[in-house]
Amino acid sequence: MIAAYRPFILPAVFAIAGLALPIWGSNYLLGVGFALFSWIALVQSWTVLSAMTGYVSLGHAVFYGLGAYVVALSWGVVPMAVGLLLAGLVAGVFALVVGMPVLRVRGPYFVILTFGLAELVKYLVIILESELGSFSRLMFGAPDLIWLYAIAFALAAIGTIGAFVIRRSRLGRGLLALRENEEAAETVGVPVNRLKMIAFALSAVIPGIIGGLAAMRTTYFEPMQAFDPTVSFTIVTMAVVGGSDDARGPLLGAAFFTLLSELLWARLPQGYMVVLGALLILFVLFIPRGLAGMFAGRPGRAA
Amino acid sequence: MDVLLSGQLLFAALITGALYALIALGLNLVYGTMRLLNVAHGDLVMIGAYVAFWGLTLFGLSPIAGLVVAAAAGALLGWLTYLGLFRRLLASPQLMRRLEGNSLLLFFGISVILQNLAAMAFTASARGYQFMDQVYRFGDVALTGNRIFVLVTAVTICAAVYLLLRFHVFGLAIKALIERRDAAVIVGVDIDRVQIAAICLGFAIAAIAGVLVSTTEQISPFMGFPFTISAFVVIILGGLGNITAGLIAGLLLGVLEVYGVALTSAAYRSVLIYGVFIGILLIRPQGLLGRGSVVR
Amino acid sequence: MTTLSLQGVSKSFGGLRALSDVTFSVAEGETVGIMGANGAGKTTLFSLIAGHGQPTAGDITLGERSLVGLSPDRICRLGIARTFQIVRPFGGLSVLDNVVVAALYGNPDRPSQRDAEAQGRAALAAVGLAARADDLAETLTLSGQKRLEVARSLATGARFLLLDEVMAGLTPPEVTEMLGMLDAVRTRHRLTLLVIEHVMKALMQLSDRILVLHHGELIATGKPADIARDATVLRVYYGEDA
Repeated sequence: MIAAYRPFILPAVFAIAGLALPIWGSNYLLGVGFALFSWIALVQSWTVLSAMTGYVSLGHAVFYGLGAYVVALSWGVVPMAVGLLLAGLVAGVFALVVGMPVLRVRGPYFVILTFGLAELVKYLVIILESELGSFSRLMFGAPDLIWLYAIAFALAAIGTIGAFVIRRSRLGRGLLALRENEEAAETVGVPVNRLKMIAFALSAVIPGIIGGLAAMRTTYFEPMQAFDPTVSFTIVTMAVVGGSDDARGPLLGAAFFTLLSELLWARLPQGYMVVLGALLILFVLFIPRGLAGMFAGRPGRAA
Repeated sequence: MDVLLSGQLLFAALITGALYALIALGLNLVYGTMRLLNVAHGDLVMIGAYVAFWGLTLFGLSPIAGLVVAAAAGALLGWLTYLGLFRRLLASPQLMRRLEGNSLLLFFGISVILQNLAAMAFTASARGYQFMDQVYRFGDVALTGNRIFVLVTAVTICAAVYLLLRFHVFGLAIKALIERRDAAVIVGVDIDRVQIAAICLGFAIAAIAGVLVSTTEQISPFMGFPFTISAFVVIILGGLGNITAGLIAGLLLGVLEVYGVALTSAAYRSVLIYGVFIGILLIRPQGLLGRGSVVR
Repeated sequence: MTTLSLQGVSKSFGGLRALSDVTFSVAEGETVGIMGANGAGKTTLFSLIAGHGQPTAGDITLGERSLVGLSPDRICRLGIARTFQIVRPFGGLSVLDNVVVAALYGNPDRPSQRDAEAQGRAALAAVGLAARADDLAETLTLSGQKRLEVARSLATGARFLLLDEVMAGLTPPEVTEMLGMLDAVRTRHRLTLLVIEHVMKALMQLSDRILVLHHGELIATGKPADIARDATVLRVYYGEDA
């Protein structure tokens, strides 16, 4: 009886902690919480594509950056809530548009392709901005941290529940099958191209909104920062270390690295990156199912 | 228009192209023999650059001697990496299967570590030094000594390796391994030794390229990445594992980049490179000059 | 009565002619065997029917409808399923999940997850894998994985099964077992089978009719007993002095 509820303990802990955090009120903690839930939302979205289809994206920063850009461009022109929704929409549409050609590439080539795509968009935006005569955009009158936190928390919840639900849904089964063997999946009726596109688009929307939130938090937009490949890299590392077999892994991965970052980033940002890299290597080689996988019982495949 | 037709630009393109060809050559050797996509390749260039820099600054070592030191350092690194990591990876098909696309993440992790360790050790700020910067004039083309040095060295090494691959037994073994791994084993090629040789050579070449770059450009811990990307563009353009095509493709990319930037502006440099990169992967992943399909 | 028909189907890969002007029909309920040396074009034939690649000439129809140009998943939903020469299970999924996904997506009338699971279990029972439902597919033996592929095809609800060398690599007792299972399954589900096989005993036993392919051409068709005596076939298989 208890065993059936075991998988829900961890998410419940996070939910309760997340809801209780604003009560303690410290702005610093709120900031950490904002970061934590932003990362959770990002990683859960990423797993919908990369863990479920096996198409590992090393370029998710492109959606994040596009979202930030949309918010920056629409600042003052539309209400902020609309701006955020637009951010998600644009990211999703972008995914649909590039998805077709991009998802035809397989394996490690897909990985470096996504990286290249993110960089390309970054440099295109830089050129665009300089054509428009702006080098960074300031956003005055951004909402208080508590509101940003609330939205990030909500997105983390949606992302986690979404990942959980999708995995068990018809869509999820199709994705997992195509991950195992794309050609065989087609012969049993799975419309692989359509499902890959759907997964790709779904994995883009929330990161777009999170990017917009991040822009609001820093109150400025600057392309090199918004499209920083470190974001892509961190998402992947969180997923690998936390595990992406189910929706709990990203929670652990995000928490682990948010904590680590709080300890190291201020004093030793490069040291933090070295640790990130080392952990990625360690887990890829020796602990492919991640932290969550170490606690799970049922055998399964790593991302 | 005058600028486009100038000899000056042509030489700039040749020098850039030769450098790209050289760096990609190293990557192709590693990839061709072992099918491992080493995205930390550009960081080897960075290491070579720092070897030259510190060699000069601390020991007064001329970059010409620095070439040798860097090559040795690169070869040593290659040897260590092979023994420590690659050999285990290559020997275990189930590890490789489990890694699949994740083997790339492995090298990405290595790259991040190298870059940030370098940043911690050498600080992130850019450094540079003077070397052979007297200007020589040939007609209406003005070149500094260091650029001539880069061109001559790069071309020489490319040619030397090409000849090695073509005529020396060891070179033939490498080519055999690249072409048909299983067949090479059957005809008695000592896979282990050839792989070690290939990786040591590949890493050494990258380090040498780093020394060359350091003679004309400023160096920093994060300089490697653009070179990694360019190297990948080149080897994909030429077809993975195809050494000769890679050399041509390197030249091609250098030409494309220099003339592309001349036609637009410096800001477009990255856009051009990444654009070509994505374009090739999407349209013709087997390369302009390659045959066959990209294996999953 | 839906008939699967190939008319003048040819397929070239660059300069290589894999299939030349192949014409035949398979009526509902038949079991048609296909034999031929390696490289004769048998698997290419299956791939074209299943939608992986298109013929360079000719047409493939199911009933009234042309299959050429349709995606493989669409063709599956129209009722054609195939197994692979080298097995392709969804290794990291459980045996049950392998068939459930087939039931979910292969059926044109989208069943619910619960119904799909029931269909999946039924398919597993039909091939004798019910006991292994919760095991990872990659832990099955070759014989098990071959049976899983058949179960997967069954679960899609397809009425036309393309079986590509399903006996390959099986021991004689396993072959007998597989034959028995296929016979039971095709009778119970009223299936139409197209079978590529090198194991002659199995092919002769299973087939109502046999097609012989050689270098991409259809050189003979007929009942098993007739084919075994056919002069052309004997010449091709044994040489001029047969």
